[in-house]
Amino acid sequence: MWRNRKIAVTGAAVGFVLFLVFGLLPALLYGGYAGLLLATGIFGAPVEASLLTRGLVMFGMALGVFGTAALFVVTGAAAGTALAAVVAQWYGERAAAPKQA
Amino acid sequence: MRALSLAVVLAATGAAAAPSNKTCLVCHTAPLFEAEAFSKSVHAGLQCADCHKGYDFSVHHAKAPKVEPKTAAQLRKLSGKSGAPDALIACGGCHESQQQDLLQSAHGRWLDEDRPAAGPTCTGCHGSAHAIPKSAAATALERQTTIAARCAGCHEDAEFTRRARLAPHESFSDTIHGRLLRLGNPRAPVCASCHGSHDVAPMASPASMVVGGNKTKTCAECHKGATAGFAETFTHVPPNKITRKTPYYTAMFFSWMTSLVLTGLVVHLSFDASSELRLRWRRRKGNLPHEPAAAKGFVQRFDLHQLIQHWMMMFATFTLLLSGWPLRAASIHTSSSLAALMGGAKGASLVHRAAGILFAVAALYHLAYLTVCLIRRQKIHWMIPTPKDIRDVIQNVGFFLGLRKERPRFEHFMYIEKFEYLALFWGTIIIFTTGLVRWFPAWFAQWMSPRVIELCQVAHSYEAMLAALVLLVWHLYNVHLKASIFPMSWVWIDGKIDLEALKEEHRAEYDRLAAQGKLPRDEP
Repeated sequence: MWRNRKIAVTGAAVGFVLFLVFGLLPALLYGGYAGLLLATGIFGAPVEASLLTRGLVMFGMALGVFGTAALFVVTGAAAGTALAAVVAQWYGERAAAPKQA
Repeated sequence: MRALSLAVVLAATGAAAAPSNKTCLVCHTAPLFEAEAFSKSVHAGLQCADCHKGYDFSVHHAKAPKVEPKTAAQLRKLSGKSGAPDALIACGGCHESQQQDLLQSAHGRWLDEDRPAAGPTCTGCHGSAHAIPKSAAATALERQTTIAARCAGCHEDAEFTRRARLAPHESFSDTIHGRLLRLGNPRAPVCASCHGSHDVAPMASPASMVVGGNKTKTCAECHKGATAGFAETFTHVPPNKITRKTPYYTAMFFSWMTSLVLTGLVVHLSFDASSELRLRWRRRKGNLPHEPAAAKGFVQRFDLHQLIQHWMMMFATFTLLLSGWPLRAASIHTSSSLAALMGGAKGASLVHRAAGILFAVAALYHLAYLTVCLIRRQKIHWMIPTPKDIRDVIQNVGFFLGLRKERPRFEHFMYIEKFEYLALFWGTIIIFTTGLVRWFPAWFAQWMSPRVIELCQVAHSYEAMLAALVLLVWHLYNVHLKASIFPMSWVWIDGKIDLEALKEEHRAEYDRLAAQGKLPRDEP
């Protein structure tokens, strides 16, 4: 049965590690940029380094990290599930082949 | 003519005792003069004395040639910017037309008039005359990037623009052209493309390439069919309350909406996550009332058409995000790497447009599906909010805060899913229509007000940012990452939900199906 929680968790863990390696820094940068865009829209350009502006940038960074991590984790779980399904199908065919012979 | 006369005078003065390069290089070594860079430069075939005229080696002092008073005044001004002012004038010996254009342009006024700040010289824009690379040595992108950087050296310097009384806070790098250049598009226009180079005219002059009818012609060189309305939508001036109200207030509206919506969603998500963890802990301790387990089995939650629509929407949204965000956030260093994965800025834009079409097809597929269901009188679980949804919100928040012992009993679609659906509905309309305007701005400008074009230009990226954050944070948490579902729900793959999950998340639907005999009843 391809709905296997253990395999999905393993895939999610791999996805999270890949996020730490490849996705963490871009997530912080893009999230911070999004926060800066929000601050510019609310307060007008050029923004000053006030508490609210810094709060918005930090909020953006946090959302960027959470969202990107979520994407990597779910993609990893999906990839793990897909791989497990392919392997199970392949082994199932191999197991059935000698019986047919 | 004046420059030619000067060049002749200097040549006559220097001809009698012109030293060879070898002679000069005995003393003039690095860092004053880089021989290797000079040998690779476009001036490599020239002699030192061709530009540095009037030097007599035996005396080793430049004999000041006799010049006209006006040229002498220019030399005095140039001497503030260069140790070899006569060499700068000598540029005109070979580059006469360019020098003539410069002296009559906005950049040359400071040599003849009293201006608040010194302007550029030949070397200020082209770099040291000893090291100007041959055009074949640099790629088109490198040349364009160098031009933009040199212009920005003065025009994006707040102190200089204030002193020289130039328009403040104008930034090319934040415009669409600047961002395309950052992503590595060699065809992206830079300053000289629109404003002219040696002959750049002041903005107040009717000869300027970016004023009135001239601006329309300049825009039309790349944007075929550009009208005056289209030309009006592009400027370096950032949105502000005085001269650019439409983009200013559009950005303000979307910024407030994004901030408030996301704050609310994050608060909801935080409460949900803490209540999920609290439930798991209580379940582990055996503190929850006994609930008979649901029977084993699955219920078909989504049919094949709904699954296909979701996959198309998911793939299109992911591709749009990956291809569009690097252009918006071009100043982030990873953007050019991301764009390079798609074949550069041009490739990323093609991918973005293809994904946009797929997104629209998915939306139309969904509308067609709803229409066919209505015609065939098939049961549709509507996403329209009802009074029960409002009660569910209040009761669910009460449950999160520990004020209620049980979660509300949700039907097929709970308020969270309805919110996401309606947000997607609104977002699709906004993003698709504004995206079309951004794709064909010159065509839309033929019959649409420039203010509407500006609104679409700002709304597109802000709505995309809101949609992306809601999807990545809110949707992925509620569907996949909650403690009771982690790491992933499988419903989006085959459309089936297991009975335990149905009982947990959509208890009202579970009870209704059980009462209709479509499910095994709870064991006493």
